[in-house]
Amino acid sequence: MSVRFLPSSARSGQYVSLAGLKPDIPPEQLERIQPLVDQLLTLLRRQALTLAPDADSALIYKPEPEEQP
Amino acid sequence: MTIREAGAALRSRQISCAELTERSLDQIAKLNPRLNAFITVTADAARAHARQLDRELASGTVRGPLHGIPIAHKDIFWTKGVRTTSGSKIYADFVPDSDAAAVAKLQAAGAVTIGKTGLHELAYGITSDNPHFGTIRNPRDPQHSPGGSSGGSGAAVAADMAFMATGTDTGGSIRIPAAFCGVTGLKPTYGLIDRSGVQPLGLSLDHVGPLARTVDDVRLAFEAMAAGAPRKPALARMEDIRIGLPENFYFNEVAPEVKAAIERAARRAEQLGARVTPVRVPDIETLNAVGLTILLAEASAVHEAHLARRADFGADVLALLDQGRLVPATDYVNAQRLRKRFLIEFHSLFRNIDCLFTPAVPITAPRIGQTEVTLEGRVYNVRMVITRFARAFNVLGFPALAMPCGRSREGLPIGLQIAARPHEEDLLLMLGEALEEPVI
Repeated sequence: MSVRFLPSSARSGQYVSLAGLKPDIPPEQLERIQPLVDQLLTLLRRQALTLAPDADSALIYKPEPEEQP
Repeated sequence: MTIREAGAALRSRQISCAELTERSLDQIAKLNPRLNAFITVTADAARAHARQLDRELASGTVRGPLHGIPIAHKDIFWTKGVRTTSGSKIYADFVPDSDAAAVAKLQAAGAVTIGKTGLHELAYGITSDNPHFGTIRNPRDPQHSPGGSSGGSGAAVAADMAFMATGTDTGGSIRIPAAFCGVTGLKPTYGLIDRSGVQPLGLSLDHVGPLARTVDDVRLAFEAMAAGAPRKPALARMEDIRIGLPENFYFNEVAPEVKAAIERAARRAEQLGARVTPVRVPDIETLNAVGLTILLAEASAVHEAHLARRADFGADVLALLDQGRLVPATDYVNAQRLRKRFLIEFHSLFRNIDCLFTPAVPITAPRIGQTEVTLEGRVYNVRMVITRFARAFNVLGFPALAMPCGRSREGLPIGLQIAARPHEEDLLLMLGEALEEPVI
């Protein structure tokens, strides 16, 4: 399954950055890397669907050992 | 010679700090043209510092076991007045006005900095084939990669240029070069060693740690770098240690020699009294996807300010930075949420075991420039294979040790990875010492 996440302009290599703050990704580069990102995010999103709404609210990562030394 | 042996020789005046430093500088002069382990050698500063440490010894001051020991820093650690390139054209002329916290701690412990080691550009890769500072070569066989991103540190230690070297590990960057170069590397618990003054890559994945030739050398360096950090004492006896040997994932798509070596290490631990238990680990494939999603987004955020200078990045690093710009915020947030869920699953697994034994890397060091490897009849991308077993412990923040456990038929080192719960570095070091083979 191929999942596309960017607007159609990006798929056609016409991605325009916000107010010119970021350089455009050249179309040939986008063509190369987009399938890799799609593949990665497809796997991630399948799992994300299984997250309960209250799974965890903490977004700043800490390993949180069960027992403090 | 180990750090402890060198320290004893220094304190008994069999050798001076200046002489020991000179030995390291000679070794660099002899081997670095071939291996390219160092970007910068700070010979004059090292000699001056060594002389000062000799004066301290003469006056009866011993700072500790690292007093007078020549070491190197990955060129991503800030060093006051010494350029810190991060292996990047962007930072090629950056000279920090202060030391990284870990550098300062090692210096306070009496270590002598002899230079800055090379790395994969921006620590964002595992080959150490650097387009700006050249290819780093593996001292065990210079036709092969030393791994990365701390490839220069692994090579410098393996080639006896330094007793230890600092490294960073965001997806295996200490453990992979340790495994490929036949040395020991420790990725401690997330946040245990202060990362201030170290160029970030993945803000929630970056770890700082030591590489050295023996487990005891790693222990001594780690104790200096982590001075004052919370630690949990190791279990006292091998008989108390429960080792989990994964039935799934970690022994799939692995070179047969690597698999056999890890199984031998587990049997050896069993002979020493530990209990080895087969376990099923959570879904590491997905955990790796979680980690890569987080890394792509965080690394692109860190380097966003420079992304207009596209020509100043190597092609592989630029491709990763561009990929990170395609990760939506929603996916980054959900990756962090999944990360929490995996953390709970792993803590649950570790209720029944004290540590996991896995290969550090599924293969031995590939040839420089090699892009594919065949495992169990299928062809894989070398880069994806190499980080496969390491990344999970960056996502979890659990400590992991990589150490030599034999060689392949080609004579290349094989690396064992031992992972434990947060703050259980002492358990890893104890087990590592029990299983250690003579220095290769």
